[in-house]
Parts: sequence; C-alpha cells; structure tokens
Amino acid sequence: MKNRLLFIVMVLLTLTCCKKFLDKKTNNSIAVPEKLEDLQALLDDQEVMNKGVSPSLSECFGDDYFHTETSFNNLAPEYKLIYTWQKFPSKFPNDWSVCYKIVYNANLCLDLLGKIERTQEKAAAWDNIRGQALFARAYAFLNLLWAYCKGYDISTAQKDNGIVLRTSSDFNTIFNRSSLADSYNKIIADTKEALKYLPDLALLPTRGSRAAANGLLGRAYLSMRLYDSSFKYSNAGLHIYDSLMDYNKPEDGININANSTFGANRFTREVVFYTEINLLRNIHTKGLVDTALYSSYNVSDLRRTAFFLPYQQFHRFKGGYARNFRLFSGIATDELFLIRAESAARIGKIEDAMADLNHLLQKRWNNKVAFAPLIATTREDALALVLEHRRKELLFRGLRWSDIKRLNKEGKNIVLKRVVGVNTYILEPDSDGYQVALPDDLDIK
Amino acid sequence: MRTAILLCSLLLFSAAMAQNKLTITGRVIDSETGEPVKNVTVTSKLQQATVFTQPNGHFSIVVAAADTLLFSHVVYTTQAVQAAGLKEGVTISLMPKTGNLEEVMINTGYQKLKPNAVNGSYVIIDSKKLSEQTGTNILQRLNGVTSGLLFNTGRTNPASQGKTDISIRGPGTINGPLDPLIVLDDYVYEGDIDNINPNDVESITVLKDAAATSIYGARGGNGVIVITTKKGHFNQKLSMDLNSTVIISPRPGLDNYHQMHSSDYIDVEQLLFDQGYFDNVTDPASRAPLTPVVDILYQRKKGLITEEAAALAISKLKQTDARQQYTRLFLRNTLTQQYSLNVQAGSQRFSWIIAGNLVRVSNRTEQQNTQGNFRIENTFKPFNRLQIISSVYYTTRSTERHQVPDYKSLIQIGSRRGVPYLPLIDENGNPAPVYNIYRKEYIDTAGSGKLLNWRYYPATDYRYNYTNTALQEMVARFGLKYQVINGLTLSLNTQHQVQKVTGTATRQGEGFYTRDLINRFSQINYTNGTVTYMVPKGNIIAYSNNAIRSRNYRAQLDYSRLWYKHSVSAIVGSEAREVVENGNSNTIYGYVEDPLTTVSVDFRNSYPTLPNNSIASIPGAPFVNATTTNRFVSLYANASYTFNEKYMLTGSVRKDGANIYGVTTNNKWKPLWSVGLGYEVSKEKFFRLRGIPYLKIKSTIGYSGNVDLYRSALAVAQFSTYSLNDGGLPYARVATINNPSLRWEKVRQWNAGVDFSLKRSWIAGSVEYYKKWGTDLYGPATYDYTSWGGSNIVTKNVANMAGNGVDVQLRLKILNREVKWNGGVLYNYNTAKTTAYLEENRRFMSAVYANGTRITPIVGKPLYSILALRWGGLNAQGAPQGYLNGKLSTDYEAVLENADKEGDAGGSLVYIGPSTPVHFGSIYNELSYKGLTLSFNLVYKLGYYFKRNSISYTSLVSFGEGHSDYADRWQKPGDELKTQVPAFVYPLPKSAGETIYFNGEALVEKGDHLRLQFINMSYRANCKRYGLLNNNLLLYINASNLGIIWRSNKRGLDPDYPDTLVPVTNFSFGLKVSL
Repeated sequence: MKNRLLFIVMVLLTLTCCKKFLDKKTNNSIAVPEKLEDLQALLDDQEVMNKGVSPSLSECFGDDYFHTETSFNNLAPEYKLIYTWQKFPSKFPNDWSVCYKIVYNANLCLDLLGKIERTQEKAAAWDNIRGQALFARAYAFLNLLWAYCKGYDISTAQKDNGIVLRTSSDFNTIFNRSSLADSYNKIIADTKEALKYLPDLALLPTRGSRAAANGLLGRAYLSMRLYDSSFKYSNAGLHIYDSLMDYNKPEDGININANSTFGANRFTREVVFYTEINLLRNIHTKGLVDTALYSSYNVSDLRRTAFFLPYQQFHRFKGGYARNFRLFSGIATDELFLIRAESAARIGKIEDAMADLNHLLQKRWNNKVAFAPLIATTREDALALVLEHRRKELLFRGLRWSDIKRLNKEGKNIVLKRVVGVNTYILEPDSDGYQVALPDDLDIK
Repeated sequence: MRTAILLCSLLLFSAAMAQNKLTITGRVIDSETGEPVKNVTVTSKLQQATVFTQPNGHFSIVVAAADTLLFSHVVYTTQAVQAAGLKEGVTISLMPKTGNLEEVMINTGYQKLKPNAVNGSYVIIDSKKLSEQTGTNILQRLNGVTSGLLFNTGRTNPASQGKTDISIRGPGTINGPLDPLIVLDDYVYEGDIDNINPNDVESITVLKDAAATSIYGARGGNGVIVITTKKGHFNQKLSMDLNSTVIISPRPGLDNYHQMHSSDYIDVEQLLFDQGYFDNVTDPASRAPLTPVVDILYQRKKGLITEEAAALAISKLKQTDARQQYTRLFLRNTLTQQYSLNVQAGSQRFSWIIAGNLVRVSNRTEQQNTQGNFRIENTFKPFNRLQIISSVYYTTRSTERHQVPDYKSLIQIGSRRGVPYLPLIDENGNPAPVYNIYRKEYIDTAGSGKLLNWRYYPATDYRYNYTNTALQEMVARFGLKYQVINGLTLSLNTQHQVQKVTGTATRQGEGFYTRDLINRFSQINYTNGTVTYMVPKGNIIAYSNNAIRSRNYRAQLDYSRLWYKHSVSAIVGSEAREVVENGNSNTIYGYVEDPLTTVSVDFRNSYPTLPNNSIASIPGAPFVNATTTNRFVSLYANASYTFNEKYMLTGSVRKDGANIYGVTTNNKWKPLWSVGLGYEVSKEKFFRLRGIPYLKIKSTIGYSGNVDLYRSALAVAQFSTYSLNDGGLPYARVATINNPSLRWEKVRQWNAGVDFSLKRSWIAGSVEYYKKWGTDLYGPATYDYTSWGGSNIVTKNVANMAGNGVDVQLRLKILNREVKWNGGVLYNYNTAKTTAYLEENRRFMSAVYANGTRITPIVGKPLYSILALRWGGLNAQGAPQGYLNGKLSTDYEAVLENADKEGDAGGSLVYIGPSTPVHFGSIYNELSYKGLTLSFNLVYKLGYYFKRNSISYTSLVSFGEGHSDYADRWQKPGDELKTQVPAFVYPLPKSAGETIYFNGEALVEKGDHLRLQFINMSYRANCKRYGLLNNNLLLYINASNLGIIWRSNKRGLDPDYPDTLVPVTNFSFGLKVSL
C-alpha cells in the first residue's frame, strides 16, 4: 500500500509540474509570431521583403545592356537562352519564388492580424501593419505581372494570363492562375485599401507608406496606360514627398568619381520605397551598357559619370541607389516625377510635363555649366523628351521590360535585337516572347 | 563435482587428525582444464603462514589441524579448506573467476542487471577489452570489438543528422538523427566525448534492440552507448592503479591527394593561355590573382621578361610538387603522453575512489593540448537501509593551435582551386609570397605606398595566427538510495553539468590576416596623402565563450521480490532534464600586451574598402548567441517476471515530453513500449545435452521514434536586429512555415536470439536476428512554392524503410594450457532498404551524384547505395559513351534525361550495390604464455562499393582543379582499348559527356577489404613474491591503424578513405602498476 501511494504521488508531481516546465521556449531568438511587434518584425525582414526581390528577368530581357561575342560565350547555357529570348529551364529558386516569399509574409501578417484585436492604444500600429502587408503583397504582384505577363491591353486583359493571386498563408489552400485584368484589379484594390491604413511616410523606406502606395498606383496605372489615374496618383505621391538629390552635391550621398561606386548610402533622399533586383540570374550586371544609350548623355549631364564605369572600350553600369553594385528597383522621387511628367504630356498638360522634367534635369546637370531648360510646344515633343529622359534616368531599375511592352502597345514598335557573332536574335513587338513561361517545376492551372 | 567428493572425503578424515601439527603437501589445479596453477597463495588462517605453489602446482605447508587453509589467486575464486581433512598429496581445484558470463553486469543507465535477466540485445565491452586499444577517445575503442556497431566513415549526411559516424544495426531513418545516444553512468552525456578519460572507464554497454533502448524513449532509436566509470567498493583494501602511455603518430603523407602532375598541369595552363582563356583575368583592370605560370606567360606576352627567362622559370615550376613542400613545412610527428592514477578503498560504511589523469598532445608546428581530469566519488552508508552517493568529475583542457592552412585551401589562387606546383619556399629556402587573393601588380602599387606590406607568406604566416581554447567541465552528482521495505528501494538522484569553452583567436599584427584587414579598411586621401586606418595596427584578438549547462533530476522505485518459483523485478521512475546553451563573442583591435593597450573601432558604420570600394563594416562586433533551452520530461517503467528461473517476460513503457516549439502540449508527449520473452532451455530437466550447459532463447519487439524539433504546426520565425546601416530595426525571418499534418517517425524493431555456452566455455556467444521497420519517415517532398518561396520542398511523412540483420558473436577458448589461445569472432550482416517513397517526381541523378555517401531514398534500394551511369567505354575519338535504349550512345543529354527520369529501369543507369558494408565484423586472437600476451584484431568489411574520384575537365578548365588520372587519358586512336579516361578537348565540348564518365560505372570500385586494426603485446610481471601483496606490473606495446591486408580494388585505394588522408599508424608504449 505504502509503495502504491508513493508511486501515485510521484506521478502526480511530475504531471503537474511538467506542463509549465515544457512551456519554456527552446531558443530565445525564435518565436511563433503572434504579437503586433512580431508581425512588424516579419515585415521588416529586409532580406525577404526588400533586398534582392525584384525579378531579374525584367532586366535580363531588356535592352539596357548587351554582351560581346566573347562574354556571351562565357555565359552559362541557361543564361544564353534567356539573353536571346528562347525557352529556358527555370527551376527553384527563381523570380517567382522570391516574390512569393514576400506574398507569404504579407499573407501571414494579414491572417494573424485577424486574430489580434484592434484596441484603442494599438490602433495605429495595427493599421500600419495592415497597410504595409497589403502594400507589400500588391508590390510583389505587380513585379510578377511585369516579369511574367504580356503588356496590359484593355481589349484582351480578360483573356490574357495573369498571376496567382494567393491570399492565404496555408499551403493546403489551392490557388490557380488569374487573368491579367483580375490581377491588375487586385493590385489596385489592395493598394487603395492600404492607402486608408498607412502613414504618409514610413520610419524607413523599407516599409510601405502612403507616398509609396501612391507611387505604386502611379506605376500600375502607367503600365495599364490609364494616364489620368497615373497622373493623379504620382501627383498625390509627390505631394507627400518630392525631395530630389542634387548630383552636384556630395553631401546628398553621391560620388561622382568615375572609378567609385554610386554612393555609400542605401537610403538616399530620393528613395520612397526600397527594393533591389535579385541576383539569381545576373546576366545584365556583367553586361555592357548599350553604346547608343551611353553616347546620348550630354557631357554636362552628371549621370554620365555617376552611373557608368569604363570597361575595356565600353562601359558598365556601376549601380544606383543600392549599395555594392546591387541594382535598385524601388520607388524613388525621380521616377514619380517622370511618371507625372509622362502622364501630363499624354493628357495634354505640356507645361506641367516640361516643368517636372526640367526640375529633375536641373539636379542632374553640372552646375558649372549653365542649364538650358528643355522646351516643347507640342504634346509629341514633350512626350519624346520625357521618354528620352525616362530611359536615361531609370535604366537598370527593372522598369525597362515593362516599358517596352507598354510603349509597343502605344505603337512605338520597339524591335529588340541581340547580335552574337553572325547570329542575330530579334524580338518583335507583341510576339510570344513577351509571354514568359512559369517555372517548370510548378504545376499551376 | 570432483571437488565436492573430495571435500566430503576430507571431512571424514578430520576427526582422526584433530589437534595435531600436520605437513600438508598437495597440488592445485584449474577446475576446468586440470592444468596445474602456479603462484597460488596458500595461507593458514590462524597462523598467517604463507607459501606459494610452484610452477607444477605443488605446495607444502605446516599447519595446526584445527586451522583452515585459504587458496587464493588473482584469476581464481578463493577457496577455504579445513586443514584437518587434508591428506598428503591432496589435489585442490580452483574455479576461474574470469571468462564467466555471469560476472559482468549490464548497465542500462537505469538498472544494473545480470545478462541472463535481460531479453534485449546488448554488448558489454569490459575494461580489459577497452585497454587493448589506446588513444584519448573512448568511443574509438569500440571499433572492431563491438558486435553490430559500425564506424561508417566518409558519410556526408547533413551535420544535423549526426556527427559520430557510428551506426548501430544500420539506420532506421532517412532524414532523422543517426547518432546513437551516449550515456555516462546514469545520464545522457552532452559534453565533449574527449573529456572522458578512457582510463576511468570500467565498462561500456551497448544497447541495440528496441527492448534495450526503449527505456530511453524517442532518443534511443539509434542504439545507446552506456559508459560506466570505475567505482569504489565497500570492504576493500586500499588499492592503487597507475597507468602511463606514450603514443607516437608519425606525420601523415599527402599521397592520397591524387593531384595532377605539375608538368601536365602547366601544359594545360599554357594551352588555355594560348587560347585566350585567361584574357579576362590578365586584363589589368581585373585585380584577380594569377597563378605563377599564367603570370609568367602574361609577362612574356607583354615583353616584360624574355622568352628564355620564362622558359627557365616554367621548367623549374614543372619540377615543383607543393605536397612535398607542404609536408616539409607543416607536417610533424605527434606525441601523446597519458598518465593516470586511481586510488580506491572502502570500509564497512564508506567507499571511495579518486582518479586523476593527465594527457599531453604535442605537434611542434600545429598544436599543443593539455588535458587533466579529476574524479572523486564516494558512497556513505550511515545505516544499512540508506546510501548517500556523491561524485564530482572535473575536466580541464587547454589547446594552443596555430592556423596552419589546410593543403587544399592553400593551393588555391583566386578561382583556380588546385595549383599543384605552387612554390611555398623560394630557391634559397626562404618563404615565398603567395598571391592568392590579389594581383601582385595591384598590391605592389595600391595606395601609392601608403599601405602596409600586402603579401602573404604561408610558410611562416601560421606563426602569427593561433587559437587558444580553454575548456572546463564539471559534472557533479548527488544521490540517495533508501530501502523502504525489503525488496523496494527508492532512489533520488540529481546531476548538474557545466561545460565552458573559451576561445581566444590571436591574429598578430605581423600576420597576413591583420595586415590585409588594415589595408582593406584604409581610407586614403589622395589629394593630401593622408591615410586613416579604420582598423588600427597591432594584434587582433577574437574572444568567444560558449557554455552548456544541464540539470537532471530522477526519482525511481526499484522493486524485486522472489516467492516460490516466481520472481518479479520492476522499476518505475520519472525524470526531468534541461540543457541550456549560450555564448557570446567579441573582437578587440590594436591589442598590445605590455603595456596593455587596445584601440576601439567603429563597428556601427560602413566604409568603402579596397580594392573595389565595396562598402563593408569592420568584422567582429560583439555578439550574443541565442540561448537554447531544451527540456524533457519522462515517465518510464520496466518490469520482468521470471517463472521457475526459466521463462521470462519483460516489458517497458516510456512517455517523453519536450518543449518543442509550436507544438501543442498534447503532441509533445510520445508513448513507446516494448515486450520481450526469454526461455532458459538449459534449465529444463529434459534438456540433457551435457555439451551445452547454458542455452537461452529470447525475443523482443518494441518501438522507438524520432521527432524533428524544427517542424511545427505554426509558422516559426527567427528574430534578430539589422545593423545601423540598414536601419537598425528588429526583424523576424520565417524559418519554418506552418505544417500541421506532420506526424512522428516510428521505428519498430524485432529481435530474436540465442545465447549459449558450450562445455568449459570453449565456445560461448550469441546469435541474433533482427528486423527494423521505419514508417512515416520524414522526407522532402516538392510542393507548390507559390505558397512560400523560401523553399521548393516541405517535410512530409513520405517514406518507409525496412532493414534486417544478423549479429553473431563467439568467444573461443582454443587452447588453455601453458600456452593459452583465446579468440573472438564477430560477424554482422545488415541491410536497410527504402520500401516506400511517396514522391511522384523522383529524380534519380541526385542519387547518382551523392556517390553513396548520403542516404538517398529509392524504393527497393539500400538507403546508402551506389548508382552509376551505364558505361560504354570510349569511342574511337576518346569520347565517353553511355547507353540509350540498349545501344551505345553519345547523345549525352538524352542519356542523362533517361537516367534521371527512368532510373535503373530505363537502361541508361545501373544500380550497382550498397555503399555501406553488408557483412562486417572482426577476428580477434589472443595468445599468452606465462605473463606474456600477444593479441591482434582483424576487421573486415564486405559486400559493398565506393566511387573513386577522377579527372573532370570542366573542373580543370573552369576551376583549375586536376586529378592524377589526367596522365591516363585517351591521347591517340587505339587508347580507347587501354583506358577509360576521356580525351581532353579544348574548347570544352558543350555536351554533358564528362558527366557520363564522372558518374559512370568505370569509377565504381568494390569496397571489400580486411584491415589489421591493432596488435597489442603485453607482459605481466607478478611481483607478489617480492613481498608486495596484490602487486602487479604490466608493460605493453601497441600499434594501431596498421592498414589494409587485403582489398578487392586493384588501385590500392582505401575504401574508407578513397580521397582523404588515411589515418596514420600509431605506436604506443605503456605500463600499468597495481598496488
């Protein structure tokens, strides 16, 4: 009897004490995200949300750069196929996976936010997180659309393929591919929703803000060729924040010396939302800058030395608003000025367009040489000037591929050409080459 | 029987001979062999007169008739005989103590049991067996002497799966842990295994089957190794053991690095240079370093040196073998000295042992190791029902290790990985600079003379870089054992362990590391010529501290009762355990020891660095590691019931809980059970085989399991903080996504065996057969990574496996006369196959690329298996040929596609065989004559394959990595009949032909071999006759790792170490004194 009692006491003791004993965290640096601070920390994971996230394909397919025959021969077989717009094997990891990592974090935050009460004292943080998550997801979706889908055309967008609009963090829930129209609508609806929750400006440009969300809407509408709206939102964005760097001033964080990197600071005063192009398929970073493009810069245009590094008899792009030769792909005020200028020109506000363009160019012009403002009298002249400087200002920023698709819809008839020795590869406007296949190791309907 | 009759007859005589002085003469013999026994102490109890038996066993002693004679000897059970009954010419037979199975106890860590009270499968390695091998690592001594245990060298499974390379009865999982559990005395041991002094170890019990390991629950699935230290005993006179060993290990050779001959290598470089391959790197704009030959060729091309000078320099380099220079500069003999002393004694109420150990390992260039162990353990019995046990085990180790570069990393110049001719010393024998990171021209001119010397001299640089490691470990125990009533004992035990390791890495200012860091962070103002050193001059010291603390508490009831023919014994207990690990590190710059100076640096901001102006911050900012806390709670019970000493039923259950993250408490608990049956046939009356005095049949079945601590139903994130440059905000990175459908892995094991002993124990041993089934095994499965782009695979319960095997161990007494010959044979058979894998898009080539060094689950194939592309030899152009649809083919892409998708069914791929031994074991022999003993152990591994390395032209061209097989390549038509090595063609053919060769059958070799593991020779001098009681002296010489005696492959490769250094032969000399 005595032993039985002893045993029971012992078992009871163990069972009651161990519940608490086992609740101790295994590692004090890991946690199951549940609090608002945890969700904010998920959105602040720059490596996932900002750095190396934008599709490299959008740059690889573009015409900012070229390869010589020798450097082409040194490329990996897969890169050769991409460079010449041929069908290429695409396995994990790729642009798709990198962008859907952002989507997962955003979805996880939105899913978990549903379980957290929006109390009076935490309302600001709660709203901010909801806004950031909606914004980040829409930003990733737009990046994916630009890389994988055809240019937006209102007449075919219902039938054209879009992307997977995943809105749940549970991998057991299945999502299929949506149409291009639905994809754009989702991006616009989510970003407009985010505008209701976000602060004007964020603590760091790695987080979404109203300025960034307006910028994103400006980008989205521009690529949809809805210029009234792109004017409206780029304008709204610039009303919140419109600071530009003066390339004459080293204190603005620019290093004009031809042999050094662009600048030491990652978050320059022009950056509204910070992202970088991923390094997964860096065919372009080893490429040489298109010679015609380079020679189009005036000698007094400081971008000529700020952006380029001499290499052999050619030039290489030395990087912009990202550090260490990474490529910046985020939203900056210079882009917003150019979106507003282009939209203005397209809707006939020629003076507004030229004012924006000249405001920007003045900050790029060597202040030892007098700056003569550009003048345009017709809509076409204004548009031509804005587009010329859009090309010269926003190169290697992951925008060109989408621009080509859009401008071809506008009738620009840009024929892309790669010359490799005796072979010439051509990508005709609106051809199938603009529809990029999804990764081979995915089975998506 | 004879002894009993003798004793009876003696008793009858006793009355007649009363009270008289007698002279007794007689002979002492071994009761089993009948051989005379010399040096038996014959003492009269009352008078304390002592004589010894002579070599023929004879003795003569004068005693009073009422006295009693004691016959004692170190290896025999002491016998007392009344003098009165003895007549002249009497024969006394003594029973040997050793060689008796019943003497050794099995220590499960929870219980000490007699072997015949256990149905499970186990092996005991006693101190005698352990002391036949030398060295400082106790686990190494299990090699080749433990049935069912395999040292599975050369595996490349992820480190999270295991680090010991020890496998007990093969794997039971695919992605789960593979290491056996190590238990020191009663508790799981978390410290460094090198902390355990082998001389302190009394025995090791290896638990193999589910019945034996189920008491350890989920962690015992891979077997358990229980290390038991020496203990003091009650009622024991003071005794002392002194042991001293010196081990000499000659310096290793680098011949096993099958590098390309220097002149071949240079010819290839010359060819590539002429073809313009190096144009990109030789371009002055590139600061990439050049190999010496490319540099010479470039200078010749530019006209900086003459044709003759270039040719002369190159011809000299063709004669240079970096391996020789490296060996001469860096490799030395290693000397290990080991001294240990233990003293023990016990009175009626108190017993104690004190042990000390000192080990010094020295190797002149590289390292100095000093380790000391101190152990004290005592047991106090204030009254008969209570025992108080306390012990402390303290280890301290200090190591000084110079950073001698590893050969393979040293001969890397930029992206050229293996420059075989790289000169480390110049013609005058002075250290030569090696330009392996920067171009010579660059560092000679960079900074316009404002920088420190930027050259690297490997021959001497190691002198300026060294790491001091200080380790301290303390294991303290306290326990109470109280006998509540007869048969019921309560014990309460606790163990606290602390291990602290402090590392101090010193990089002196003269060394390349420091000079390089200073230069890279130098901020040069070219306009006014000033330099700001962001990294100050002087020494750099990096400190790191790591601590492991564990606490264990255990309460256990032991119950045993015997009534009539029934016997019951049981334990019930609960245990809680916590292991906490933490650490930190920081770096100090500009350190000067005397007068003490340090300089603070800016870790927060980033600076442009040379040579590329990339932005970086100074390394070594203070860092605090995450604290990990693992907690376990367990309830366990084990019971056995024996009827009539013949039939035995055993069973055990255990429930484990752990603080696994993201798992609800309910799922944290896992119950496991086992049952066993035993039948001691030899105790049956009908069993009258006189030749088999002991025979037992037994069988067990039970479960163990594995849980992956990193998978959970909820998303888990890792928290950290960004540097100031990135905004300095805290962040959380998703480490694991929500995976709610995951279950625990289950491993079931069935064991059936026979223990037997033949007459006079001339053969004793056991034969066991077992089967293992692993179900619900974790494995990677592809999924739609649109859900989370962090990975294209998730862990699911995808696989099943099944294994079976046979363990045979035999102990032989072949000769037992003046010359004794004992032997031991171990034979093990083990296979483990994947039986199911629920993954649709299996790709076979990944299993080919694993070369059998990792577990590659393919249904129907061994877990470790070798697959290779079917090899069709070379064609008339020296190009490799594979097979496609049964025909020779050079359509490599199609061959690879077929192999990858169809596997061995497609015809392009063949399954060759397992890559771990299917049959393995050892043959042990021990010959002794008088005090002289010679023993040696042969280890065999059979029935398996390995893949050797060869030349890859892609590696050669792109990474500068060659292989000696280059010399055997196809060079002219007709060579395809003599060689399998493809022709070297430049520019490299685009297709994957080389893959066919590199992963083809031609490179697969049979692994079967026989190895002489050790030879041990010892001489035992019995010094009793010199007046010192109990006094023993043992001298021994040992040689281990003596190499392969027979191998199946014709290339002289060691299958355990085909491409790495073969362990050197160690020679040990030692002596043991017992007082």
